[in-house]
Amino acid sequence: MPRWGMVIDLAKCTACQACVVACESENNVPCVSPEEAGRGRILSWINLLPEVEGEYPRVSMRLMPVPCLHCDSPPCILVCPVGATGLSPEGFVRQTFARCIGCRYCTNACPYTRRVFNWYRPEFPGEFQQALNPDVSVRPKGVVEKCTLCHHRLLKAREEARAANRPLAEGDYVPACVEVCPAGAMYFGDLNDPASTVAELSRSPRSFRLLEELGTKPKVNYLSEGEWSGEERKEA
Amino acid sequence: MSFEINRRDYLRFAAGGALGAATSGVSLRGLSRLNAALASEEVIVPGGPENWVPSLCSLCPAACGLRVRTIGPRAVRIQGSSFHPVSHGGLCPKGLAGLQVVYHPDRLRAPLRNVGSRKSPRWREISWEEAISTVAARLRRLRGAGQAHQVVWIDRPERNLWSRLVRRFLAAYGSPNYLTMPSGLDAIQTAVYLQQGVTQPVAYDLEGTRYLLSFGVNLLEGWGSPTAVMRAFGRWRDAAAGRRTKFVQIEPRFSMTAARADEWVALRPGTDAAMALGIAYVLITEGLYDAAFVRDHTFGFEDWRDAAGRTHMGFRSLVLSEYRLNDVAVMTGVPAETILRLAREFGQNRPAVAVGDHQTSTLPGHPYAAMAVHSLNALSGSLDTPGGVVLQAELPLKEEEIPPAGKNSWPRLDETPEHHFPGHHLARLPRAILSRKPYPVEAVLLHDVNPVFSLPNGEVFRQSFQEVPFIASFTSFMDETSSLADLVLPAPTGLERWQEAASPPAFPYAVESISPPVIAARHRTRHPGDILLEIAKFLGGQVGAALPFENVEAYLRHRVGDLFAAQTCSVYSTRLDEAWNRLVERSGWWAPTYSTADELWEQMKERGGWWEPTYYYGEWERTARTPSRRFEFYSQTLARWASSRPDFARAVGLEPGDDRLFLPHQPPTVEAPPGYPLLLMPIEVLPLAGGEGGHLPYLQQIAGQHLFATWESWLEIHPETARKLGIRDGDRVSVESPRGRAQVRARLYAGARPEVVHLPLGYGHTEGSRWGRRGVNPMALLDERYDPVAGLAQTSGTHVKVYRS
Amino acid sequence: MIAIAKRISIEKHGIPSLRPLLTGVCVLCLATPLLTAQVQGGGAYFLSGNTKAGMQTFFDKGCARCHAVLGEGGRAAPDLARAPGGNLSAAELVAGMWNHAPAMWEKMRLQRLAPPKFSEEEMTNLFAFLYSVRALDEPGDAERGRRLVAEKRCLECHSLAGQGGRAGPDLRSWASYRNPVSWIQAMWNHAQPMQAMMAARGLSWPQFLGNDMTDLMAYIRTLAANSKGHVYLRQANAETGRELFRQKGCVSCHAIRGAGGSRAPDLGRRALPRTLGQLAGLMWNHAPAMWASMRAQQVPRPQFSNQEMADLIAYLFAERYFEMAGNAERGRRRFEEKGCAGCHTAGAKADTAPDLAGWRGGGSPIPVATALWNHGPLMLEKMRQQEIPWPRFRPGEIVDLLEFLNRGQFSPALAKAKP
Repeated sequence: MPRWGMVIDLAKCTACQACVVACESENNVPCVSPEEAGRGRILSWINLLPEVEGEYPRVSMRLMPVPCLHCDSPPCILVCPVGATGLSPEGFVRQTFARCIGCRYCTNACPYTRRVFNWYRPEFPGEFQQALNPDVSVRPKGVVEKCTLCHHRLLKAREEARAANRPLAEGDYVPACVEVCPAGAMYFGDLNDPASTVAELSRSPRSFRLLEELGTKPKVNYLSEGEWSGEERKEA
Repeated sequence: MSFEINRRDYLRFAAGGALGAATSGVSLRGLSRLNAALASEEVIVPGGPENWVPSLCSLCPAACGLRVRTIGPRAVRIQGSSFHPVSHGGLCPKGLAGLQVVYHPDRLRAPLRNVGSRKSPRWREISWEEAISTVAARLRRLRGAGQAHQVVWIDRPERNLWSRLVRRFLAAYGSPNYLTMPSGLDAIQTAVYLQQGVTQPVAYDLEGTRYLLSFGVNLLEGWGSPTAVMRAFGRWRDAAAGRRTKFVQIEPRFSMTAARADEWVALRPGTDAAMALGIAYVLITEGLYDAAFVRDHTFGFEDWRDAAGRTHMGFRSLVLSEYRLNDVAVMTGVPAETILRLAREFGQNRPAVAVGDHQTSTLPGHPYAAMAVHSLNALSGSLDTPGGVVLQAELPLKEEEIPPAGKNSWPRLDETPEHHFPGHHLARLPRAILSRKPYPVEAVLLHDVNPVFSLPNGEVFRQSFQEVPFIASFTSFMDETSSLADLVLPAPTGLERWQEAASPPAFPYAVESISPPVIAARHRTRHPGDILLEIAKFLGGQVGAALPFENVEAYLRHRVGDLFAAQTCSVYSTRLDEAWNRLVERSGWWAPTYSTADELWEQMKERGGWWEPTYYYGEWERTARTPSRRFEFYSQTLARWASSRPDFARAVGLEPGDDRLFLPHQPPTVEAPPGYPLLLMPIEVLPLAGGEGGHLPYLQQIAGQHLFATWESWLEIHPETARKLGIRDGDRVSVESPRGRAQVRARLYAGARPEVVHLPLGYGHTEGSRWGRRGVNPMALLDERYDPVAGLAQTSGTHVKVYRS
Repeated sequence: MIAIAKRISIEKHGIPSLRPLLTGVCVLCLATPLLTAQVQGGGAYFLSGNTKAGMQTFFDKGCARCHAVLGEGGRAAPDLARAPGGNLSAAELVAGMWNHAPAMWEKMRLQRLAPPKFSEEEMTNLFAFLYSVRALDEPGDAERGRRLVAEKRCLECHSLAGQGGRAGPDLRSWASYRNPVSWIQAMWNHAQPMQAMMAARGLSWPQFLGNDMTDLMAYIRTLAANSKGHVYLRQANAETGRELFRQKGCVSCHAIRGAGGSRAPDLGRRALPRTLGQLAGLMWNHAPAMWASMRAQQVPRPQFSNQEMADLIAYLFAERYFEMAGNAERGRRRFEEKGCAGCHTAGAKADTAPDLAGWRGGGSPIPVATALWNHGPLMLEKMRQQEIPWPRFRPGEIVDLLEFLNRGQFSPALAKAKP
């Protein structure tokens, strides 16, 4: 059974946010109105999170692309009163929109703030609707949505592999954000396969996981820039 | 620097300036009911047969290769093409937003005629026949009246097959006025002309660079070919590749490029030249420069004596006497030990390259500063070497004879007596129009350009265009300049049309991309090339004979014949093929995948294009075409030109006969006028690189991510400066320059220099898309000032005051 | 580049006559079908390789981490396009690999790199790649070229950037020609007036050794203003070259492995220089002697187009990929001398060393290379434990051994079983 995971090399990331737009376009994430955006209600599933530190001229800025980390012990699923979210055997933290009642307990429980709530009916002004991806359903108003690691691509890749009568190979299934990264800073694959690139990279001494001390066991690993060090770097 | 993230920090980090969504006040049961009620509102996405088709990105001049996913007649996904030599499968956020261009609700839907006045236009939809015959009849009448030269065409600064088509049209028609928008590379291009004597586009072999000094070049924010630069960046830091390229960003603002650099050096604004010469000082005094290169390939390093026996100051003397380390530290505000360390690193790591000065994809720096920076490349021997500064290889296209059309000796309207350098000076056009000198302008044709919005003297453009009897604009969206036109000719967007692109800015290799339409043209739009060819046919005679092509496709096919005849290069392919072709070509062998021009054409359509993967370094005769056939620290080209311009020295601010006129030196910085204490420096951010993209929601959402500023302009101001002015984060403030005033939200930013404020470009449209109108256009505030050498707009020197509104 | 699809006929009882029948040997051919089928017992097999696939293997298996080819790749180990020197046949390549293997594995062990394993197909491709890439001329050294122009006294007749004589053409006029073969060909076809002029001036015939020609070219290129466009040679076709070898009369004096004239050296047996350009240079160097001999025998002096010269040279190269037939008897002696027989005994059990009776590689050294990589490290370890030194082979010895193994003679029992 594969355990899908991601590695993001912060040294190579250029902070361009191609991953953000790629995700929105792939997953039919609507753009909210400017006013809603000003209230922090942009729906994107992966964000570039900046943090400015220091004073001029000794300023530094950390920039991290953060999708849902698909924790192995996700706090968000524990609080759902209706079982609308859960951990799949392959490690996806999934959201079932039809079951979601929009209580937003999960958005509060997620320590990474990686869940977003649809306050309004999704709007695709003009002909934007034409560009919607038929593989991904558009979420209705009143549900919580989140990164799926482009799960629909896995289904498709499996189908294609089965049709070609071969096993799923590394690189057959890659989420949109990883696929498009111009600097090649994002990697994706099966963490259970010790020979996979992601498994190899996550064993690197530069590897760390965000807020690991919370015991969430994220499956998105970061490779530090060099200046990133701290609690989360403790080797198991 | 060690950093620990705890939960509180993380939340601050994730939520940024925006307020978290409130969660109180809604009961669970209520929501559940709400949800059920909404189920019927679900958006149903239609299916259909799926295809992946090659195309080209049209959102910036880099024109990355795309693969587009179509479902039936709809395009639903844009992705990078792994075959494309510039992007190699990657794509920047702008390119990914391309679908919002295609399906934009505010696109032009039909040809429009202004039936109102220039000042208050009223638009009426007309047929294409009417539109084309209006333009063609006007052009025929002007030509018949001997006024062909009074027709002006304004285009983007690309050198591609399209530009050749238009130039050919104009030449046959009889107008010298093919004018282009400025490019961010204009200053360095001027320096390359003055110091190397060449006009070919300059390029950087970034992937092979070991040490990079960037003087305020926004490398990761849209400069050059964004994906190519980002890919190079990824490779510099690829642990598997072994060594890491050090990349130092020297600029006043802590930009996103600075944030991602290995080191940021905070520079006093406008002192790039002094900084570069300070580094040169250390290289020279410590003997860290490439002495053999300087001896064999440069001119004007040592003092020298001319034919008349007069001794001239050399670069060494200038640097040693005027740019001593401690003096430069005072001029630039950079500690002497930092300059010393950077210079040593620069001198000890090869290939080491310096880029600059201060430039974005549209805003150039200052020619003297660019010469100073480029001189570092000569000192490190990085000219035409792997990992160094190279000249973009040219496409092997046949230069066809163009039949002369009447009197062809009319001067171009952008060539002014004061400036005569490569790169064009579109900014000078309004003066020519208004003064009717050297001749009046009867018609202006615009192709995908918007000078009223994008140039610092946009307002002057607006005024001058009021005087032009006929204006037509090819564009996909209404814009500030097109709104002054008599006719607006709607163009299909990239995915709907035949596209073509040559080597992108600063990319070393010769590239020609071609892509057929992915989906049918939407609305009543038509390819500008088809219109141009139709007009040529209507005009007949020499013009018709010069452009005997049925349509754009036929023209492109014709040009591919030239490429085939060159018997070199290869169709876009995998990285393996690319490496292989390089190996084979370097040894003198050519292994094409095609044997006829038709095969080449088919393969180009399928793979996206054709390119020369090999660059031949060190071909010195090609690299240095100056009077001395060497790189010239002391530009004899400039000296010769200036010898007939007695007012040149005064314009530069030096005495006539001063050797510094022709040597790189620090130009005087602009003093703040009384009452305007802060310096306004416009910035470009990647999502709106080139000042374009504000009409796309995807890009508006991420443009100011470092401050969580979305959907509007922001004024970056240092927290201490803001405190003194009583300004808090998020306050509405007025920014006022002697030229104008704008209201904008202030954002406190530790990366802004205390005496400097910044406004992003690309906001504040007054025409076109509903979304592009948000924010303010800093161009309206900027001083109109041009450098005395090449006449390039100097946009970074406007002083303003900022106060709470 | 050189995709070699070669058919070697083997006589009924597995004795390869190595009378090579070229079936579309294509040098510098990109899209070659991959032919790896071995026709067992049928008396013939195809040996071939896809050079580009070989390049992929070279990068995928991590060879490029340490080794470079023509300067592209790692720095830790020799550039396989340059070292060892000379034109090496497949057997010579294998011998080089075998002899260096223990040192290589030791280095890899220190860097914690696992020795890669190869399939036979991958090894075939890798060899095709290495063989081809070794035939490529690396870009020249302009500085050395500058000195050569003076040494060879080119400027006595030719002009270059305004200097030198007026008798010959300006050397810059050839700057756009990117292939050394083109230069040699241009000289070859103008050799007669050149020879006369040089004789009149008392100049000796210039010799082009090693990379002289590419270095000269590199220097001249730096002086050529705006040399627009590049003129390359198209992929050379060894099959055409074979035809030319006959047509142009080469075969009347030269032989290829005994087939052909005997007045001039057998080009199948002679050691060739490493690259195509160097071979062209060699041809030039010997031209006066060749012409003198041709005059004596009243053979017309052949003229070549540059593509023809390329094809001809490609033919000679393709011929060299395969070694001459080995000698089984010599091979048997080697097998004993080198101590192979100590472990690889007939009917040996798997825990010592395999019985090589089943060895069926035909005459090809590729399986040796494959086995070397896949089992070599283990074999080395066992030999260390038993304090047996790693045997070293000369290329000829590898061929003899192969021949010996191929005939299944090392096991007397087996030899008896076979007619």
